Amino acid sequence: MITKPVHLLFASLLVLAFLTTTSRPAFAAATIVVVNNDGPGEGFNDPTPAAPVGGNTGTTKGEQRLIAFRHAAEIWGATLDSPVTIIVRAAFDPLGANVLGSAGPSSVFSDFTGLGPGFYPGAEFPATWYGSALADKRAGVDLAALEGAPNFRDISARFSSDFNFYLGLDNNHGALNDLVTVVLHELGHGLNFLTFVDPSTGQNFLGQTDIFARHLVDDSSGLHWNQMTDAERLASTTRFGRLYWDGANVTGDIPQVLVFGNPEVRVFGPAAIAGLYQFGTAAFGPRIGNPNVLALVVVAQDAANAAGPTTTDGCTAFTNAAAIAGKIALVERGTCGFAVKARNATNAGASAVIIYNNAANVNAAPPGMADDGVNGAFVTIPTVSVTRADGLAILGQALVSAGIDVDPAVRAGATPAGSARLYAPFPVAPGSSVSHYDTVAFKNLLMEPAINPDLTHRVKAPDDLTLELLRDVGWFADADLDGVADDADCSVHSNFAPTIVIGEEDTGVANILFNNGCTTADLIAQILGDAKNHGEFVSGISHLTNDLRDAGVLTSADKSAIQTAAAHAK
Amino acid sequence: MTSARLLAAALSLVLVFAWSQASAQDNQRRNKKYVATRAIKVDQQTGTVRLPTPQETQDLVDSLIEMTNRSTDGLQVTTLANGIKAVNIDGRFQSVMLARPSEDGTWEMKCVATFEEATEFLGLVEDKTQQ
Repeated sequence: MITKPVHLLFASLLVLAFLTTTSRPAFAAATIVVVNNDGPGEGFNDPTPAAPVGGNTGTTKGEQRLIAFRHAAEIWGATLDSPVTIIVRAAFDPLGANVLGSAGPSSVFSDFTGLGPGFYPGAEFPATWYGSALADKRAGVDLAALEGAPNFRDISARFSSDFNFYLGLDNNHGALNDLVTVVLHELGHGLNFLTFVDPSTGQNFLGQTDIFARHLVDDSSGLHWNQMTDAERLASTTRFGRLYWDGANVTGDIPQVLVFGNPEVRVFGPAAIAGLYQFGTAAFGPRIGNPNVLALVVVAQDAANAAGPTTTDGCTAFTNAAAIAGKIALVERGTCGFAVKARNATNAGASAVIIYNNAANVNAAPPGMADDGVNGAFVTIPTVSVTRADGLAILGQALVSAGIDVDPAVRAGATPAGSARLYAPFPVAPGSSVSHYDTVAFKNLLMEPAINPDLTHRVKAPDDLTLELLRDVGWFADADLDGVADDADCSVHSNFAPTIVIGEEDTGVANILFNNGCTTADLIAQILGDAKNHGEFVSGISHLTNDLRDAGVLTSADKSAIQTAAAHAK
Repeated sequence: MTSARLLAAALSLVLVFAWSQASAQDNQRRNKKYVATRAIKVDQQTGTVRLPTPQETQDLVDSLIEMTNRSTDGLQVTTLANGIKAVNIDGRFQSVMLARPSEDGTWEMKCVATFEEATEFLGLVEDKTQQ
């Protein structure tokens, strides 16, 4: 006897669309082909002999580059699913040692429907740009082929042949910079971890929003980027700590990845300047939160002399040490090193020090502060940097209370409500990227703007959140490449045999794929799995095939062939 | 020739047209002089860090202008018969990974999307004395 759930399951299928199956791999993933775009003797073809390193068996520098690049591509290929081969055109060029490389989508598409064999959903939203590789995945076909340009590259990438990358595959890079990690990052952008909005103007790309921008929310207004005016988007690019990602996959996996303890510099009052401040950290002294500091801010005063020409530069012993003791010292950047200023603040008894940019750095971001190798060892208080605008804002108020602390209730890199923060720093000039996670995230994430040395080669939770964001923009999991997302697929690993085979008997009846992701063969397999004996199996098959015939999916002859094969099967 | 092939041919022409045009913003940047304020070059012989020469600075600026090109000048939307819109942006809207030497001998990396971010990270500033 057929079990009720299966019968009901099938009854609901009858109203669904169906397709004849074609051959597919049992386990899909995505195929990423790296096209070597270098000429003879250069880049990937550099013949300079190289000793194998870190699992990279190449014997020339060029070969090792190609192996490492392909290794990164294979990591993405094993992580994503797509029925369309992703083509990456890559080259190593003499870009100098300061430009490591670049990558991005080669083309964008919008307003596409599912076109491939299966039930591909197409674009989730109309009038919304998608990068080529993602668009192909959701359309189920190579969209460039529709334009008469089959196998047109999806991602273009260039890397520097002048930079001494670590070319091993084992991430054991030591003090060098790991090529695999950098390629993983840049390919992430090529796979649609980016917005096409112009960050200098806030304008949408050619008048339409993009799928990344649809998930960006500014919590100062509650608006998504696709709901904003150009001016609102432009302002949002610089709202440090206020721009977040609303995708369910990222938000859902944050607890696996980001630890509690969000470092922050916050002004509590006066109300006119209260809020979170963007800050830079120091390579010397204790980390933020060791200990948490909540205190009044006092402007440090020192002598204007040869060591420092102003009374606010903190380059010599503070003259108002009594007022500074136990408070947060505010010092201006310039003339002497950061560590000198922080040491002088320590000597004055300050509980922490804020160094704000000087006029020479009026539009610069808060700097990361290096040690000078001498003074840093004497700094025992947390040291942070802020922009000049923020420093002057504090300077202009009386009785400013501030915190330089770690909020234990908020995950590092998340909003208090638990969404991932995007990188929205104060601009150095009009234009700042939001196509990265915030730098305060911890664990460190692959798609922060800086490549941190502790990154792994893993791109999803519990190590990272890149895959989750790509899921949110539309890279749904689809292990059997039927176009139906795994979480809605009634059979994640469907049987796509062209005809229905029961036991040893090929019925010759076409195997049908339904739009809930099951094939007729899957349904037969489910009946077989549920049946307690052969009689129940035959009965279940009888119900199934009768329903299919009534729905016009099978002919009477098809039905008989399947029922006969089921009766023969033991 | 099918309509799809005609569109493909049109796309190719659009691309050529696009590449032949530099954006107004890029032209402005190319006409400016930049100076280096940060030691970002490592001398191959001595291993010491130094400021880039004026020529190295200009080469770097030219490279950054090209790689951070986010202009839509010359780009055109092609609409296929089934309503699909397509734009070939090859070479633009790239994310660019930069590096600068740190005091400890390692390299600090940052991925940027705009020319302004790139010049700030590398310490390249407009030389207003030359304008």
